[in-house]
Amino acid sequence: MVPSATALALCLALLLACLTHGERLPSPRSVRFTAEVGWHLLRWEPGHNYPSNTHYNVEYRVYASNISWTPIPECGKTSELSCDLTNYTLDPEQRYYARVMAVSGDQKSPWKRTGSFSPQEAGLRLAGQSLSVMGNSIQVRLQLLLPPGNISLEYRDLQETMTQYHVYIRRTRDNHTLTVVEKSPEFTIRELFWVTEYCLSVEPSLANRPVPTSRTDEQCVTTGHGDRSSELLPAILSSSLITLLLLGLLGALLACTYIRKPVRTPSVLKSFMKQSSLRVEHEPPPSGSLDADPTQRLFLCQKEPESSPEGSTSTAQPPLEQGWKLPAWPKDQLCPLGPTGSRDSSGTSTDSGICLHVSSSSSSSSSSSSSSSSSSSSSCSAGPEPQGYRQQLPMTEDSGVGLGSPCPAPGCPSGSGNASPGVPGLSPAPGQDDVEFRGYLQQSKGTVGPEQASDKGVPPSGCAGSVQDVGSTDTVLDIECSELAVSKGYLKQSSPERPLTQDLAPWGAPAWDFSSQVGPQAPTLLSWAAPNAPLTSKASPDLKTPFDLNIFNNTAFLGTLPLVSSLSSNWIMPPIKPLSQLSGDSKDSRL
Amino acid sequence: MRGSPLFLCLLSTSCWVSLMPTAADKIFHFGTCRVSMSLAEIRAAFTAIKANIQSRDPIRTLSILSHPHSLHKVKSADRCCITHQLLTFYVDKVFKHCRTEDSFVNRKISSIANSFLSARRRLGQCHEQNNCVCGEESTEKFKQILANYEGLNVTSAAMKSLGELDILLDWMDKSR
Repeated sequence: MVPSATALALCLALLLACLTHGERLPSPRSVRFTAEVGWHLLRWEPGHNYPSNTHYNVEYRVYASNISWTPIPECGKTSELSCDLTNYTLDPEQRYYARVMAVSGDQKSPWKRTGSFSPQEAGLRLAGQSLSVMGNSIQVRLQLLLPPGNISLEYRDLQETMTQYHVYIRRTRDNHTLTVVEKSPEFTIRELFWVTEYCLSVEPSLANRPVPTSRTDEQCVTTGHGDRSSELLPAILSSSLITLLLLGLLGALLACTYIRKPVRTPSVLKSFMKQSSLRVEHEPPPSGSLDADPTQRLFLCQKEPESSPEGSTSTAQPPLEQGWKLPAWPKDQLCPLGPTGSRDSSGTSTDSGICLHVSSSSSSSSSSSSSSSSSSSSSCSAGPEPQGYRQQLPMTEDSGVGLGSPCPAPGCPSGSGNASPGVPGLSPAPGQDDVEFRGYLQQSKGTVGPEQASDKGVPPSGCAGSVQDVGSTDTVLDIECSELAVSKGYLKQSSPERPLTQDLAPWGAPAWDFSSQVGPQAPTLLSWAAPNAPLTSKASPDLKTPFDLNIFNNTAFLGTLPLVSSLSSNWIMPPIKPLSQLSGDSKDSRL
Repeated sequence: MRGSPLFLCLLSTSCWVSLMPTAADKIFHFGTCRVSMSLAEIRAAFTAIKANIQSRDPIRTLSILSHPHSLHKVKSADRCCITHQLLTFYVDKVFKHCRTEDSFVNRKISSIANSFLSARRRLGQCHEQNNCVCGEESTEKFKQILANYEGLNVTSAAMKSLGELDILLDWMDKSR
């Protein structure tokens, strides 16, 4: 009995083993989630030697939940190799597991479980992609598929922020591929070739976690025909802007170069200046000559009256080749910029008041008078009103060089007082009374006489224009000139309006014409024409040097002409009488 | 040259912009604390060993971090406090008990542990400055986590905690 029982048990055991072995299918292989957003797919592979009629069961569960495995009705006894678990795995904060079992007839396979799955691991998917061509750029609009179900706002924002798009742009003709990474779902790809076909495919990914990604299918477009105008228009605009900018810079540079500070007279020229000024003084003011002098003349110290000084002036004033010639101001035409005049700082003007020396027979020396305070030094001989600067409206800023000469008796038009500073008005000293005083009134030497004495003390700096005579002038000039060199400005002729008007009458239109031409701000050297002729202003920095010389000359005659602080509005009132004394070649104001 | 300071300024600005932290190393705002962490590195290391580690954890009914309530429910204001506590918890109680026979896995665990150490140090400075205020809710949550941990034996608890690192990383991601 015992052996038979043992045999029976053995047979049963073997039978059971055979049966179980026969029932046990191998479990499905490669059970995994291949999920994309909104499509959580469970996939598997059949096991080894599966019969053809095998079908599968799928179950799932939630991690950390008391609920055990839950079967999925849609995938019960399915013969497919995948199952959509989207609706059961919606919560991104939960973790899910799934398992698959194969059944074939009576045979069942053991369950095969997946790893944990979270909806956050799902790959990104694009819902839509649209391309539009604009010229040689392609505008791309992408739509990312949103996770289904009730998704928290936090999670959605995180996804949107972290999404990146890898764009692959392939040129059809040579298969050259360009890769661009974009952060936003709408972007434009620029600078492509014209009339070329490009094929685009996009691959979205997350920046903060690795998720499975897939490239979209290629979509091909052809860029447009080159619209030449649209291409050229920005180029034209930019180039024109740059050109305008450069022109503006150039203009500014030119303006700066023409507005120059007074230049110190080279020492080597000082002696020459003295000479010429001396000559100028002594020559009688050719009244008619001046008038007839058609050329514009700057009143420089050296400017001798037409006769002799011409040569000297011409030589002395090489920079004046623009045709500026020191007008032969009649000395007596120098602006009677006496100390009174100088002190008569018409505070309005800031012009530096170089009183041009009107070449006048009188020893008036036009000294460029520094504006305001120093203006006292320049005493313009009362000559014809220097109308140049004077014409600069009395109240206007007039930096013009006081053209000393034409400082008529009534007083040089002290319009210079208002002359705009820096205006290198060179008023050709009208050699005679009729000479228009343009710009600043040179302090005529003639007036220096009585005033000079006082002037000497007055001029704060710069060459004291007050030098009585030639002899003394020289020395004084030296001293003064050195100072003059630094002094800037024109002796503004204070405008004794009333007398001036009287004197201006003879001047008439031309003088005023000049003024109109001059303008207070013109930093140009006025070309002195004959009083009758309109002055043409010439801006010439070169003239400054000769002006300086003139100043020196004039100072000798006129007395101190402080050139410094030209901007002070010390206009020397051109006394009537001093005007005559103004030397014709009064120095014009030095800028 | 007036242009050169402007040029230098532009150059430095562009350099600074280009050197700004990339996605791998972002600034995280835990409450009022701002900590720079390279979460992507940690996540990459974990993803490499995730399947291995999680297969060593058979218990599915229990979670250490998410039981009974999900970690994601913790409010933003308390994040500094509870993050600091969790980092300390992992460094002290989890990593040292997760020795496996696989050297690759061990290497990855070590790198994750190092990242946690440096992040904890940075967060500790905030804690000392009293920028990390522990609310009642966060205190309760951490107590629950500890209770879950102590409900299992040490090795299982450590493995389970390590397997739940992705839950922790996802939660920290929300603190950007």
